[in-house]
Amino acid sequence: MSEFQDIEKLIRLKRYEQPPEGYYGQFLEEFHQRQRSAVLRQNASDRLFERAAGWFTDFGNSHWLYAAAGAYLVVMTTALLRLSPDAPGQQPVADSHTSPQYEVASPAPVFQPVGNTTGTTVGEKPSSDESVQPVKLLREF
Amino acid sequence: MTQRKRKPDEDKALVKAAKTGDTEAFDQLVIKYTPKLYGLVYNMTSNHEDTNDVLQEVFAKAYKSLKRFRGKSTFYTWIYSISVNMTLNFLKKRGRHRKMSLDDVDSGIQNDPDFIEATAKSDPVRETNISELQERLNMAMMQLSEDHRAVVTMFDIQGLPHAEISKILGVSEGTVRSRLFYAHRQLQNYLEEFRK
Repeated sequence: MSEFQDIEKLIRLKRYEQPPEGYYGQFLEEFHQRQRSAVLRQNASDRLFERAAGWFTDFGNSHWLYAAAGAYLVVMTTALLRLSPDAPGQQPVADSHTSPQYEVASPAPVFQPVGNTTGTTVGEKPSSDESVQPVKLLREF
Repeated sequence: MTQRKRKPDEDKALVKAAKTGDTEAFDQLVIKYTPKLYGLVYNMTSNHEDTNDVLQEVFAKAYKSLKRFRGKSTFYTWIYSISVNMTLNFLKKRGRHRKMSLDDVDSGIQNDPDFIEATAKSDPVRETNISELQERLNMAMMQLSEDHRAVVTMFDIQGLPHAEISKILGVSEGTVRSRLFYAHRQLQNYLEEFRK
């Protein structure tokens, strides 16, 4: 005998609490109505997702294998597309220094003489040539 | 014990048919399990309207998930698990304190030998009317935590064995027994005046 026998008896009285008469008959009808309205509310993308999920679930325990294979396929495809020489806006890495079509079109930088206060240019000996005019400074320091 | 003898093969056949799109087979399952699940959900929520909403969602969920039901457990255990989980989620959302619905107490309680025994003696405290006892019972149940209430509902009210409850809740039988013990002790305090 349980020490809680009295309590168990009292609690068991709750089994007499029942729904209103006719409830169970209406329940199924309401269930059908709710199902129908749920189908109407559901848009096409939801249905597609649900079917995909159902199809995926049907694979059982092997679904992780399919998921891994799918992920691998996506990664490999992405990598191949990125490395493809035909991909727009991409340059083949190996040819970037040798191919003539990628030569720099602009001229190489030319040494520009910078004038000094004595009228000579840097790296040049002062010339006695009269055609060489001394550079006048526009600013005073 | 209120638990009826179940025919798992009958359920299996209905589930198999429902999986292939036989909606009438699923209707049979709904008709069969609504009264049992009603008792479970109602005694956890103490409200008829909430019980109806939860039950509708339970069957909708079961219908959607039927393809994933592999038959490792019985349909009975599976649908009970869905019901318990959805009811617990509902209770968490609703919050624990809410007025209880006591409008639909079945008058059949007056013919119950346990009830007659509990209220027949001349002690003034025992002369409490049906409504008050029902109210106290419901209040006592609502004082329990959701987990404890679920166990008390399944064991004391629905008459499920410990092993079945442990499968439904996904806990050990020891845990079920332990929860029952603490729940009974707590109920004993709340209902002291109604005991012998």
